[in-house]
Amino acid sequence: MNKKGVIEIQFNWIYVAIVGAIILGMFVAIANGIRQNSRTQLESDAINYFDEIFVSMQGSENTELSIMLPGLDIKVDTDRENCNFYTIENSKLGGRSTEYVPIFSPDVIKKSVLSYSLRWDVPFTANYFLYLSSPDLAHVFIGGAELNELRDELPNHLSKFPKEQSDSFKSGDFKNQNYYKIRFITINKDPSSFGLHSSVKKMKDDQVSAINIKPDENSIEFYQKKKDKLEYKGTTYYTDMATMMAALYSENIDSYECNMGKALERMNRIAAMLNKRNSLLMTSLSASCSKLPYYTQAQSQLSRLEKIDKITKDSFEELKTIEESLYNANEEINDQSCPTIY
Amino acid sequence: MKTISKKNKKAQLQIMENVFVLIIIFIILIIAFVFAIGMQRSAQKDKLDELREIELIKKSQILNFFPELQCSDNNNLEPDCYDIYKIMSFKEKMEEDDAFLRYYKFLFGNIKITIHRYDPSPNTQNWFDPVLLFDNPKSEDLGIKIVRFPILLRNVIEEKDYFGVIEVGVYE
Repeated sequence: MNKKGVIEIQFNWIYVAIVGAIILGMFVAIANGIRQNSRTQLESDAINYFDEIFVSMQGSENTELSIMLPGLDIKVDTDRENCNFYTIENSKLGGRSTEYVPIFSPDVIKKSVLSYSLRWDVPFTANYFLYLSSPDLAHVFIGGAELNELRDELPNHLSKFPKEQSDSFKSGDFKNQNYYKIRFITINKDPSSFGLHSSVKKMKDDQVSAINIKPDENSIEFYQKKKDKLEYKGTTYYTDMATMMAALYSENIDSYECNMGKALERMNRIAAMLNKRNSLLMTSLSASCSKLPYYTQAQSQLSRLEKIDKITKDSFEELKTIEESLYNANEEINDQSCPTIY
Repeated sequence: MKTISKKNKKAQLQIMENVFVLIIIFIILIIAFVFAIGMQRSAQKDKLDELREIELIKKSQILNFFPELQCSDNNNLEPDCYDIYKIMSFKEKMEEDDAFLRYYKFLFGNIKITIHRYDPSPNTQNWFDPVLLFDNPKSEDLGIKIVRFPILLRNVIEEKDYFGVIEVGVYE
């Protein structure tokens, strides 16, 4: 009896199964490689295009822009010593430098980038501030009519609550509806006394923060959630709407002060250049213009401006004084139809 | 009774045909893989060229938002207009202040900025000597890509405007 056939068929099937598994494994590995490659390609394109977009956004001041993020999250450095990079979260690619561009934003931006830009004038244009946010970041205003002006100044594309500003709306009334970050904003109140809704208490501490603006002192207090309450983190200063908005958009006090440091450094350089220009102008002015005392006054003001490099109550008060003085001097010069300081 | 002769037959595994089929399949897959890699390399080269163009545009756009040089009438900045006295001051500051120069080297990167001014005198109809405003070449000379823009150059003392061209070169 010939039993050879039984063994041959079984062996063939085993053989086919092994080889089939190897080929299937190969195709799965190739498909995985292609998928990862596509992801890396997308991240690389996003990083390169965002770099270009952030440069051009600066010139679109007072313009609200929105850029979709296709399955990517942008991570921005927000430490005091290092606020100079942004990258794609969970990406192996290196980040892009923002060493000279003040970007005020949360540490992570999800879903889409909501951008806004303002010029910072002191009173000459010292820099362009870029503000970034996300539609999944809730801005909750606690207080009454005193917040209306601030709300009106902020871009409309931000997620603002409540819909109508009212004293009766309390912090505990805000229920989290899938926002990944919440920022409470108030004027002359104490956020450490704010109650939080249970849905907000469940969030991680770094996802809930608050700022308290004190217009009389030109100061802003930062608060961060700790367990069920908001804990005081520090006080910083602002000079005008551009800097106040910078604090409002910033992840924390460190991020605000680090980016303001960049802004102050460029302000110092521009003040130095304008001072030099002022000296050159003074050697060539007409007889009537050279009699004006404002050019000499401007020199001393610009020299003081070159030295302001810290964010303190005194330095920002000095900045405001110099700003007013330079503005008045420039107006007087302009009225005399002479070359202006800026 | 018949004697049953036992024949000893060895079974043969007929797999050579299958092996050849598999080898041919693998060869075809390898050829397809090499072809795909070649196509990807070509696409990457195009991508690299595109990125270089984007870099060039980005660097030239920095000058569009550059209050250090732009004409400013009581802080009303004019696009595509550059103040001659600001240009002179900026150039002098970079020559005399190392910290100032370092700051702008980091801000601009490896670029070269040259400004050409046109002399409108009827006798000459010529260009003034170009002003090399900024130059930060790379250590290796791999070439430079240049883009030019027409601009207005303003002399605030003479209250005159001149036609000019700004040349931005990005080192590769």
